[in-house]
Amino acid sequence: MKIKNWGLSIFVSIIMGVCLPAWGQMQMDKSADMDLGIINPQKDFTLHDQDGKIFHLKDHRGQIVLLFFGYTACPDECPTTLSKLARVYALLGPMGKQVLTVFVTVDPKHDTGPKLKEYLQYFKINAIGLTGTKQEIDAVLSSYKASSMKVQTNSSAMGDMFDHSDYLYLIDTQGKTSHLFHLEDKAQDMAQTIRGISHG
Amino acid sequence: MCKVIFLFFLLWGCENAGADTGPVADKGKELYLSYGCALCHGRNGSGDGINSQKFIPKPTDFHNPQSYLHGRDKDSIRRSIQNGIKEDNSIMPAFQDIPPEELDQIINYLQSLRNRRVYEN
Repeated sequence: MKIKNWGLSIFVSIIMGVCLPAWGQMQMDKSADMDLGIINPQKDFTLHDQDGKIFHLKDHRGQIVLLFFGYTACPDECPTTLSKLARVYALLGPMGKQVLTVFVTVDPKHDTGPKLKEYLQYFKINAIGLTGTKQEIDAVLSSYKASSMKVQTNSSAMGDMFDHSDYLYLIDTQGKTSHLFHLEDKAQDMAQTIRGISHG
Repeated sequence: MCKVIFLFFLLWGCENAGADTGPVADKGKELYLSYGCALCHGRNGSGDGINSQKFIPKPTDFHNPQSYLHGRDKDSIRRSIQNGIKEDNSIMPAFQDIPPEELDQIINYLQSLRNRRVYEN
């Protein structure tokens, strides 16, 4: 009887050890698909770039665009994402010239064009900063199902802080959002996905 | 007296052991600048980056040994970069995508700054 119980326990453990992670991965894949599914896959927008010129997303058909919403005073997701992109661009090599990172500020009050331009120069990436009125930026956030909310901080020295979506949207050469990168995605995997899009 | 002078130079040499100031450190500086470290730590590693004004404590000034609040040996610096620092009111995020060989080069560059005055741009 004891041996039977042991056998059953081992069998159940093996099944759970195999099935649970697989089930977990399926849920994650479903979640990523759902995330992509709720976004209008081809949504153009117009804002102003860091040099004050008008930026139409549709003018960049033929390029791969990585769209990110953030702000220059962000202490975590923004510098880590852009730092990771520096690695992605290094991995892409010459192909990186076809990939444009578009950084849309969620803090247009403080992130002027020159400030955006200076900020992005701290990362070895091919990037452009965009700004606009709060209403214009909110409209773009909404169309990409992203969000940003000013948060209260205990320290006035920190200035305005924002909780914002940290997705990185991969927009293909046809202007379609074809993939969402998450904070935990590795640079190597991202570079591979981008290469795959460019060959598709 | 000669022994004192000898001991002084021996200790000074040990303090700077492994602190490369040649091409390897130059490569490390290039990587330091490409990954956005200068945003907070400054282009010269002096802790005076454009985003540093709001932070208390200030980002580490790599020229000043006293400024290293979380260890200044290679392993401590590596941990700080890879895991971030969330204690002592620090808000340094984790940078996990820098490959090991490049991380070593950055650390080598940072250690080369110790006790060096800042004259470069």
